[in-house]
Amino acid sequence: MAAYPEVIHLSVRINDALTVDEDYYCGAVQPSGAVYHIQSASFLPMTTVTADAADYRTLTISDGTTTFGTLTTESTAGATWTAGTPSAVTLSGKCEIKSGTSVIKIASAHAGSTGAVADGHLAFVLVKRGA
Amino acid sequence: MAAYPEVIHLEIRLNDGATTDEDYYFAPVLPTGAVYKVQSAGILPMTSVTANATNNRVLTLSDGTTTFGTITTDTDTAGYVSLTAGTYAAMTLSGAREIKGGTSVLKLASVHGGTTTGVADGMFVVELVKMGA
Repeated sequence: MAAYPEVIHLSVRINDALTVDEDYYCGAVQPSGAVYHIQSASFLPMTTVTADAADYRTLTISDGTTTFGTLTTESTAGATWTAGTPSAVTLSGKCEIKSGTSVIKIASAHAGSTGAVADGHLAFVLVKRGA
Repeated sequence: MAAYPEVIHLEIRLNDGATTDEDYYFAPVLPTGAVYKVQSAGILPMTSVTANATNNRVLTLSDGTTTFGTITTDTDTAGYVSLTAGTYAAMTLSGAREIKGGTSVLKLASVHGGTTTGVADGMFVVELVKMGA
């Protein structure tokens, strides 16, 4: 079998209307025993969402159990998302994805009822730790 | 830092009705200083679109400023094509078409003509090749 790459790029379309929440699951097909970690993640919006204390959108990246990072337009903890401008996700912890057992979960959750859509692409860089 | 790959494949889903336009923004996460070139791009349609002067679809790939290439089903435009479900249609590219880590994104403008058949339904594929890091 050919060696799996050192770096894998993933891109996931996020598309939730104002008051809709969704859990997105994604991952890479990896050989048994492979371990990758999420080195970086960035959301590239297609629709601008202005930061607000009541009407906001939060994306939470995890493996379904452990949170790797969040990105929000809540005005205290986050910032405005601007269409066409990437917003990097601050990651913490090991952020490991293991073949056969792990997936990446993106929880897209709204607060309020006006303006806080999730519309864009969330891109990941996975880097190989073991195989 | 692990070496970034020589080639990166990106694929995004297009799903615009006959009267809907959309600007799709997408890009890989690249380290600052990295430079990739769009080597090839195209659409794998899920719905056929017959070339037509009135009812058509135009896809334009750019970095938001400089156009890299276009696919059109408008018979009034040179190089037009019909899109066939399940058959890849390549985009004709030109220029340096570079994407730089930390500063660049890809923008696909999907624009309709008419009101009936000019949908954008399928997967848009881009292949990026590393130029420098």
